[in-house]
Formats: sequence, structure tokens, C-alpha cells
Amino acid sequence: MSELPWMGVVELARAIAAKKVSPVEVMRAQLARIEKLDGRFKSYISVFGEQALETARHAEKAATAGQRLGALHGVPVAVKDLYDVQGTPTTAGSRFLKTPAQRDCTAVARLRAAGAIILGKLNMHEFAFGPEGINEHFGTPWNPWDTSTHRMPGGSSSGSGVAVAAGLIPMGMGSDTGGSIRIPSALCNTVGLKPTYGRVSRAGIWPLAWSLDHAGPLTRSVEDAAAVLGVLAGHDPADPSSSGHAVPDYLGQLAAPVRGLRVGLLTEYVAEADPVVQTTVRAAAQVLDGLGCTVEEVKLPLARHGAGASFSILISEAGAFHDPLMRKHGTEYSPDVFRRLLVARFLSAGDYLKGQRARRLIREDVDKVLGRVDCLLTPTLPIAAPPLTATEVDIGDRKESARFALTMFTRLFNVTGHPALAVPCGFTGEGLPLSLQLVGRAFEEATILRLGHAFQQATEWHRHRPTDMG
Amino acid sequence: MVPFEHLERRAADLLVGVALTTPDMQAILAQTERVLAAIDQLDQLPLDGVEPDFLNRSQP
Repeated sequence: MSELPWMGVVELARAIAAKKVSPVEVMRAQLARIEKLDGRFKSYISVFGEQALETARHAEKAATAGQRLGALHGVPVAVKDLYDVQGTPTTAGSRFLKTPAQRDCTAVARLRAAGAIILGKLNMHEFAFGPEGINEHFGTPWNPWDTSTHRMPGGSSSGSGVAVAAGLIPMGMGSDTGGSIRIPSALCNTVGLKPTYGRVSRAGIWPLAWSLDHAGPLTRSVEDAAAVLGVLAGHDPADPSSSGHAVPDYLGQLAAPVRGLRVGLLTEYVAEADPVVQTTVRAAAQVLDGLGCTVEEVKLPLARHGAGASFSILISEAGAFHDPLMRKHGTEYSPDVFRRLLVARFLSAGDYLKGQRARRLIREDVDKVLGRVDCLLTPTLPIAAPPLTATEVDIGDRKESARFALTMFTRLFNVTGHPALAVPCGFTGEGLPLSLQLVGRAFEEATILRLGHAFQQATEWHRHRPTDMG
Repeated sequence: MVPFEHLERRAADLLVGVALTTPDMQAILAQTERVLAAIDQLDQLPLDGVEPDFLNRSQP
């Protein structure tokens, strides 16, 4: 099969600008691969084949005429099916949302303005409410790192993780309320960036919990994530949480030296992970040390309250948003999602506000540590991908609920809003991917991207490819 | 039988007649218990005088 689907966002954009490859050739190769493999992977909910090819023809014409449409000229991209794309339904992974969107969401509009071509919409956990990434309506995406056992792809952006890892798209947009970009990234061996709260517009993206939702990319390299963030970041008056902070040149700053950066290894999280994860993340810390960073152990005394704050805010906000829909379409929800939304009816306003008050203390706790170090280093997850049917997982010699385990180290940074980057950092003996998480100061994505990029320049983990499954 | 310590504390506050007509009631209650236990742990924090933080970062 063609190697074109394995080219990254930046690599493709440069090759198209230099007229070394044509956007039509790239799009045909990508569509052919999806046609051949996605019946098994189930990463897409819809593919805009003809429309994407037509847009690629326009991009090719412009490239031939020496015009550059933008930083992503001719690059195929896909979005989780909770991003509005004009003229197509935003299903949010459900069976009853069928009305076509009247306009593009801000993120899609910015991707298009930069010359990217929207190829399709990606599968997801229904309503983005689940870290396993299952979907009973469209079929659960298959984690490409095990061809025989159906393992969790990770959610809720499961289609994004699988499509990027399996060479079915160079970049898939996801959303992250408790880890939904970073969890599938970790389980599928991709890079996942949850930017600072307010950095990327949420306007036109189906919400789960307004004050925890973040939009961001899943890619195969940190360089590609930096390029996409550069296109997406910036104030949007349509999103009341959108920030007016200046947008730096993320791509331009990637190659700056990391020597002298202070990295705080979060000992509580490392100690709670499975032994193979602990060993792998400590080895990654050694790599950063070898690059000239100063790695020191740090503690976050309030980290253990992340679960309480996250649960109270997430369930209250999701319950409030879904209440009218549940009354009308209750029987059409997946039972697992409906059950979790019902929990909201047992929470009081006081519970919700307790979470929002705790959030202030927890955020200040993280800010305080980030005043001493430039970023935090943690495992992204305590485990590798469990079988799809697992309700409990072993972490070392203890058992934990699979659902709880998947968000153990990610949800804290939705509560605090700090930027967090998942980066591949190794494999288990069974060949399942492992991931580290870098967490930066608010609006300092450039620092964690620089560190992640330096790590990828020094390692090969992100270059591994899963076996094709026809 | 799962103990519903945290749930029982709130039972009196629940609206009368919440109609949860589902065969999954036991699963919902178990899930609720876990969530409430985590939320109740927030009482260990020094929350006196602390205002909510809705994380609205729209002002640079």
C-alpha cells in the first residue's frame, strides 16, 4: 500500500507546497486505505469521499498556480463527530441526533481557512461520556495494537485515536473533559494535546461539561500537534470561555533547546501506576535528564481531591445539559451513558459548588508547584489497553475499576485547566503502547510541546506502526 | 448489598417521586455512592472563605 497515508501533517504540507506530492494523490491514497481497513477498525462515522476529493482538486489547482491556501494547504484531517460541519449531522455518537449543522464550528472553520480538507467524522463514546471509547450504535473502534483481542481504544475520542494510529488520517480532532484526548492517545500510541482551558474555541462543539471541556488534536508527532494548535488557537467571541492571550509561534519554537528546563516528576502518580508503567516513565525521565533538563521529584498534596472535584462538576453540568434530551429520548441512550447521567439527579447545587470551590484550591496547588518547575511529568495512564470487556483491571497487586483507572491521572488537569500533552514512551511485553504526560503552566503550551518534541527526537516510540488488519 | 452510607445521608434531601423507572437501579445507586463518597472527601479541604472557580479565563 501507499506510504502517503503515513506522512504527517507538517511533512504533507511541506511536500504539497514544494509540489512533490499532489493533494489529490494524497486524498486518493487516504480514501483507499480507509476503504480497505476501516470496516474492521470502525474509526469513522462518516467519510466525505467525493466532497473531499473535489476540495483536493481545488487545492491542487491552487498549488499548481503557486498559491498557498494556508499552513495546512491540502492536508486531509478528520474531526470527532461532535464538531459541527456544515450540512452534515453532528451525531455525538448517538442514534437520534440527525439534524444537519447549519454552519461549521469555529475549529473546523479555522482548519478550512488554513487549507486543510475535512475528510470525515470520527467515532466516539456516545456523547463523549466514557473513557473506554465504546459505541453500541456505530460499533466500537478496534485498538490497532492487538489484532486478535478487541481491546479498549480509549475514549471518548476513540475513533480519533484509532484512525491516527492506523494511518487512516494524519490528524484527528478530539475533545477532552476528563482525559478524552489523552486516554485514546495513550492506548493507541498517538500524541494528544489538551490545550489550556480557553486556548481553543469550543463554539459549535457538542458539550459534555462546559467548564471542563477542551478541544485539541491527536497526531502521530508533537511537531504536527504544534502546527495544528497554531491554526486553532486564538480568541473567538462565539465562545464565552475563549481567551485573548497572544498566540505564539508554536512550530517556530519547537527546536529551541530544552537544556536547563526543570521537570517535576509527580511521585504520587508514578507510585500509583502499574510497575511496567513506573519503569517506563522513569526511563523517559532519564531521557529528558540526558537532554539537559533537571528532573526532580515533586508532590501535589491536593491531587487526590481531583476525583471529587471532577465528578461533582462533570456529572452536574452533563446532567443539566442532557436533562431535556433524556426526558425525550431516554430509551435511545446507551444504558451505560444514561445510567451515569442519572447520577446527576442525586447531586445537589451544594455538591456542584463544593467542586467548583475545591477547584480553586487544587488549581492553586498545581500553580504553586509549577512556580518551581517548568512542567510536570506523569504517566498518562496507570495501565496499558485492557480487553474491551474488562470492568476491573490489575494495577500491580491491587484491583481497580477500569473506568476509574483510565482517568486517574488525566482528570485533574481538566479541573485545573492546565495544558497537558500525551506522548508515546514505550511498550509492554505484549506490545501494547505506554504514554507519558507533560503538564505545563496555563497558556505555556510551547514549553510542553518543545519538551515533547525533544523527547521524540531522542526516541523512536512514536514511529512504531501497528499491524494492518484487512 | 453495597452499603449506601453517603447516599442515605442525602436520601432525605431527594425530591419525592424521582421516577427512575429502570432495571439498572442497583447499578445507578452503586455508581452514585462512589461519586458522593469522592465529593464528600472534599470536606477535608479548607473551603471556608473560598469562592467557586468556574475557570473562565477569557480575560488575559
